[in-house]
Amino acid sequence: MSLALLITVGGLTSVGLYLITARALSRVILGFTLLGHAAVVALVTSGGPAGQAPIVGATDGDMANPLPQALALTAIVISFGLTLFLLALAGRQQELSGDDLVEDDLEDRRIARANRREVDGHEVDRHEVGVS
Amino acid sequence: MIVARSPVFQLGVQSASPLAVIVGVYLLFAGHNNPGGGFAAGLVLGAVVTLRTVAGLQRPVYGPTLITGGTLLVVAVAAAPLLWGDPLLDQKVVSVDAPVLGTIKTGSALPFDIGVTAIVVGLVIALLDGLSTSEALVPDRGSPSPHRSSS
Amino acid sequence: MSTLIAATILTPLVSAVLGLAARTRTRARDAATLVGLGTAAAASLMLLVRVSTEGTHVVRVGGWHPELGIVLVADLFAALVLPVALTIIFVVELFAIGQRRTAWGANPELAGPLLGVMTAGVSLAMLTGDLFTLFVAFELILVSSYVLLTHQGRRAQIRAGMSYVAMNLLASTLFLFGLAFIYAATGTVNLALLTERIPELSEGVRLGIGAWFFVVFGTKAAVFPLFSWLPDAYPTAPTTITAVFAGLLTKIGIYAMIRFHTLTGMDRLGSVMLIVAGVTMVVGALGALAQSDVKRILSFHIISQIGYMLMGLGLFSAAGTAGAILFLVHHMPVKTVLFLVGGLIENDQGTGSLDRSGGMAARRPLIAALFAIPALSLAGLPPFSGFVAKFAVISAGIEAASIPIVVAALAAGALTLLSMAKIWIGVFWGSSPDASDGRETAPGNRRTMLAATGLAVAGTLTISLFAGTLFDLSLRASDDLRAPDSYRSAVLS
Repeated sequence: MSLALLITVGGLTSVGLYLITARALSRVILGFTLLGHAAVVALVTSGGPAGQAPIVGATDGDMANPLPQALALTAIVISFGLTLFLLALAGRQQELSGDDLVEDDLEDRRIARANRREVDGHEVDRHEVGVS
Repeated sequence: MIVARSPVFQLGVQSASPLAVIVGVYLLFAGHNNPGGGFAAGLVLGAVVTLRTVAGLQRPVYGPTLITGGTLLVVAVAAAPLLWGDPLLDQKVVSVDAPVLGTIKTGSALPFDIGVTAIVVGLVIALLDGLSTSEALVPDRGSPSPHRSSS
Repeated sequence: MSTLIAATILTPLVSAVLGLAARTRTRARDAATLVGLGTAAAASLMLLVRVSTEGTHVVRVGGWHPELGIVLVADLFAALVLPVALTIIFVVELFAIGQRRTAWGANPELAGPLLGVMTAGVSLAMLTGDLFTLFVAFELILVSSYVLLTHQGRRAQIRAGMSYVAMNLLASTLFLFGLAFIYAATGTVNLALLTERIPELSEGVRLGIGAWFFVVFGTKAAVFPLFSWLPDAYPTAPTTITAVFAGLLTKIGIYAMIRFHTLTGMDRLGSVMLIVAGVTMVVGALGALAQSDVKRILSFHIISQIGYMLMGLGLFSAAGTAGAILFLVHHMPVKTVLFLVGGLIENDQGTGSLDRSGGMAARRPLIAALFAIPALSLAGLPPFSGFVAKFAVISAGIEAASIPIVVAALAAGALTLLSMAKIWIGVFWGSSPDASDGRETAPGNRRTMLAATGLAVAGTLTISLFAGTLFDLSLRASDDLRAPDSYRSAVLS
């Protein structure tokens, strides 16, 4: 199992996870793409040492393990489709709201508002008025 | 949103597309024993359709038909072995000695691959059709919005 | 029997593409989807009969050896859960056909075919004998669910859909990583081979893999810290879609967990699972109490009920696993029916909010009755199926002397009953709201919707009636799962 590939997996995963936490959907989508790549590289790595292309009659000696490659191919196809779907979703979001930021959770907003009113509503409200 | 298309691009796509189609068809037939196969062929042909659509040379049509036909073909090939008691998705291999082409080895995997190709191309077309209506890929916004509300 | 197994996967797929091709030709489309889904459901029922008498049946796809190829395994567990799942989808499609002309309905041009694709995915997920095909089946189910959730393109749906898609995509990616780990450790992703090879691994690697897949399947199943996407996303979809999601999607996660963790003997994770199960039950039930919308309350109930199934699994005893399986079988139709009734309420009142509706017990006694039966069953009152299922799980807990989890289960049961009472008081009692903007529904359509819901309620009653038989079957299925030798020899020989 090659160290370089493992480092690649680690790097792709960390960059991908970092991008997923972003608020802009375009970054989130890029993050998922990188994470998908990381998973695919991990799958290929799991097949053991590198070797020649596993084609019947074309190779003699050490072949690479073809099974994880088949799995990786399938995974690539699926993540390709899902990336497109995410892009379409982000596009629709942009059409609706004019930006590609993740919207606030409705429940969160309601709870925050209720809190502000109940706990120290008066003060905060005045503060807000003062700021604006 | 559409900028005038460059004639160089249009001409390039127009002259390259027959070649790309040949590559796609080659991949489809090579897939039995060599690198290639239905999905790869579908991607190449899908890329041809995409480029031609972006260049304004054609409109994305027949997507659902291709998906339907392709899936029916795939399911038929997958289920056919059950009729004579073989396992699901079993394949038959045929070798033919053709006069010019030499020995051709193919089998029931070929219609399966053709079905897969049709599905992939159909999906690409359906996708182009869906995306093109929200942000004009095609100059005249003829087809209906993909986000129909059912009211 | 191979033909039956193939039929459960292939006919819904064929009906999906035929439905897609028929497009606006309503009758042809509805006929294609109904026939396809009905055939699949019938085939799965016949499969149950055959498997329960003749034992596990294995299909090697393409004739390949399990080490290399895909196998489909119809063991008793799969054969027991599959008919329930497929029947649910069939009934929901019937409801959707009735609902299609109302504003609440899903776009029928897409919903029918996508439900077909989802059915194929569900069948594949339950019958598959290797983890990678399980991944593909999950994706098949999820992709159709993504589209079903967001296809109307409303703002709330896009917002909730985004978090739903992101959460599930993350879980899918983790699934892929897990597959890489398993393949690196054992050299196979076939479940039958894994039952042999995973116990040979060192303790740390084994538990690492078990915990990793607990997180993966736990995200799909919406267990405690990973559930936040569910109550946000489900209520935004059209009722029919939510009903399918509620009945099936999280349960597929639990199904995979029961299969994987029991077959590979992850008993050491039991205590973690029990803690997660307890918190999931109570938090879900508390969350339901805090809501004031029918669909949102029901969505939180899903989470709470997942806790019971996880509890049964986490006990890692024959009775516990059997209880979890029985709970699964009972829960899927009951939950679906409740959401369908939620759809009827919305259809009638124009809203699912408790504050703005009322008085339906007097005006629509039929809907009230259709709600009461599954609601009482979900809360676990005798003589309904929920009682038997809950009793099975809890008695297994007492048998294993895990008192804290039993207390949590009983408390969550009481809270569930309380929130059901909340819906009942809010929607069915009291006076009708002054300005009811109920949707104008053609009588024929409403009859179809009522008929579909009635059919489903009858189904849940049937499950109550045959609870004893089902429990025996669950026990046999759990014995099979806990003694993987038979599974292995069936697949490999």
